[in-house]
Amino acid sequence: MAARKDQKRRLKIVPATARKGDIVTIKTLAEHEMEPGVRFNPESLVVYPRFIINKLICRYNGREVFVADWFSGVSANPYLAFKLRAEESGTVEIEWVDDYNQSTFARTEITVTDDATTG
Amino acid sequence: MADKKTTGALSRRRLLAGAAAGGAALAWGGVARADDYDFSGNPFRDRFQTFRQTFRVEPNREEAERIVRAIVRGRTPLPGVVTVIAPDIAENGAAVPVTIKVDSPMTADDYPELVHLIALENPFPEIAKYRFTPACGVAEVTLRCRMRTSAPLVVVAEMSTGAVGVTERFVEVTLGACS
Repeated sequence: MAARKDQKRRLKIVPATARKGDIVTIKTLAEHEMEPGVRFNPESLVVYPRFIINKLICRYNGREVFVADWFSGVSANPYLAFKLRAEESGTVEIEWVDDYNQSTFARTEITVTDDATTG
Repeated sequence: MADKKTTGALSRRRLLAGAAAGGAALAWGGVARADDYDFSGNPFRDRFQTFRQTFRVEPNREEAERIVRAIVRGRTPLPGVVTVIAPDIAENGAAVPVTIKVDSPMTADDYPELVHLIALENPFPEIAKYRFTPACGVAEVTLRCRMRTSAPLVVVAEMSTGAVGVTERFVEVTLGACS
């Protein structure tokens, strides 16, 4: 079961341009039903199996800076925002791993200007 | 007798839920018991989470409290380390917005390694674990979680120095989620 094409992955850095040492906010949103594994069909009493995103990894220029382990208590269409210290221009990559070990990615660029050049 | 003790501690904790964070945190410290750990040292109900469960489980408050105690492991929580921002009354239990802030210098040898979020009345109480690094700059995370009923949210921050911070925040849920 591959990741569905119609479920988008969003990633935004606020602000996208920062000075070195500034704290920026990274906002992520994954469209996913996050089936918790405790719901059941009231007629057949068959439990819908768990299907969630169980891991989120943030990489900044290839280095892991933040990891989230999720369980069934995370809401559907999981939103996550966290902070990152801007050190150098480069790529911020978010990887979502689901219960079938399928990964989806979102990448965006961050521009970091030095204090010296901006005066 | 043991049951009586537990319920006594429970009601005291409920009273403290609205009180200062330091007072609520004290309820979790120094109460490690022999049955708080399984053989691999994992919290009890967490072992189901490593598999894709296909069975129905009812919420169990005692199990949830045992998970918290297994994380705290008898250490005395530092007051004022963790701040939890959540609504007093959440209309929709399927998406309760929660912000967790951990007060930390975020240096190479002092940062929050692992931050747990636990809802005490969920069938699977452990909601999320967050691993920060010093590169984050500020240990702060915002998410939306599911809650089945009105219950305290417990956040445990394990610092790289070995210290631990605990904060409890009661959230009233109008319409509960399935989880």
